[in-house]
Amino acid sequence: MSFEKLRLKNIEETKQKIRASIKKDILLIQATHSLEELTKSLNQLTEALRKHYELYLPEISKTIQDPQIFIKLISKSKNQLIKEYDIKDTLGIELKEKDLEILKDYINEITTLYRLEDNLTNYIENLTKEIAPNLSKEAQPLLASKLLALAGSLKNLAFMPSSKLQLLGAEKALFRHLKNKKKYKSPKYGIIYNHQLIQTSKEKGKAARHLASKLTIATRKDYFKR
Amino acid sequence: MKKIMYNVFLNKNLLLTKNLTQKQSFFKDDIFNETFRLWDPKRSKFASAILKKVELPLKRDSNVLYLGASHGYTCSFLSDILTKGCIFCLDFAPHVVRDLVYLCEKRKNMSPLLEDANHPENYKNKISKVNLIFQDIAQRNQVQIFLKNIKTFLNKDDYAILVVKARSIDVTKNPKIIFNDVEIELRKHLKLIDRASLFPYERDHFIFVCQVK
Repeated sequence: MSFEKLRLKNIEETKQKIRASIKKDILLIQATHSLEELTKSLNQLTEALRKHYELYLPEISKTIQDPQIFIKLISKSKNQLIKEYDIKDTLGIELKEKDLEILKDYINEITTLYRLEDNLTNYIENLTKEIAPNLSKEAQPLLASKLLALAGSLKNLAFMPSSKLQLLGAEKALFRHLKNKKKYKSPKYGIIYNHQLIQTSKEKGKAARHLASKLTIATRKDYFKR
Repeated sequence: MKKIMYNVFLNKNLLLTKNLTQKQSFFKDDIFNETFRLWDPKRSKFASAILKKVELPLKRDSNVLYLGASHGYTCSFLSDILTKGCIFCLDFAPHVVRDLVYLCEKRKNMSPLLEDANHPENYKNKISKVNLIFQDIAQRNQVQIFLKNIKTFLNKDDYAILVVKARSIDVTKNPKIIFNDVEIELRKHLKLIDRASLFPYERDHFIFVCQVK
């Protein structure tokens, strides 16, 4: 076969293979990455909004820590808030119509972003339950999706030894330990530290080991069942 | 401007190739002027090997098998050089091969392959005759993969180039020891022509140029 024919055939075949390679777990992993980025940038945006709003009415921002409640509150007008919280003498200044407008726009955009975050979280939870029912039962769905994202795919996670799953997310500490065993101790847990079983138990290393072995079994059940 | 290889030129410190598809740019900052493309040695190990004056057996009518093509940065420049030859670019991660397919559609001498280099028997029938293998993959068993591919595709006196990344074989070992081990392993099966470290451009990388016995 001539090169030209071979080339066209290879291009066609590769395209089909790429299309076939996108499965549900890849979709889930991408959504997880999006959620991570969204949460990170939402925190930064809220922080900037707080600083901006403190010029106008600093007392609210000082008393209310939770970002979602804070956003909801400040969409109300200034007079209303002063009455509600009984603020006598604010340190903030009065803003002109023009300055207020852009602040309101900012607040609206962040509110929609928080809604998007909620929707995305719901979507990820449902999708994880569908793809890996046993794993998401054993760990919470969000933790399960993070584990999948770190492993790369459900197959990778299923073929992983449980000791590796235990340390997923602690690669930096692990390699620091491998390079200099005397100076640095081996890490006991990676991202599974967020599981409530480990949070509540006193012997955290032991709990992490147990949990990792259970999660491995659950993942393998999910992968080989279909 | 100094000519180094066919279609490759050195302008002061900048490495340039004559553009096969005129005025078309494929990567960020790769257009130098209307006829030339700029080749960044920090992004391409082949380019850094040229600047380190390694003896590279690449001719314009070679048929190259490139293992570990990734987005196709190096491949696109090799296809500038291979005006009468062709190049098969292989990678096994679907998200980078997507870029590679776009590239191959525009360049007539490139062909993409989405395969695992561990199993050359799987893509044996998708490749025409090849007389040069270039390998740059970050796998633990990269030397075994290299030898396996040479065995399946190359004949006597053909050339093969291997870029070893010490960090992907073992992070804890000293790179020098790893390179020595690789050299001993290669000498068992092949004739070693040239070797060099790619130091100022890449860290802990070594290039080996071999010929089949």
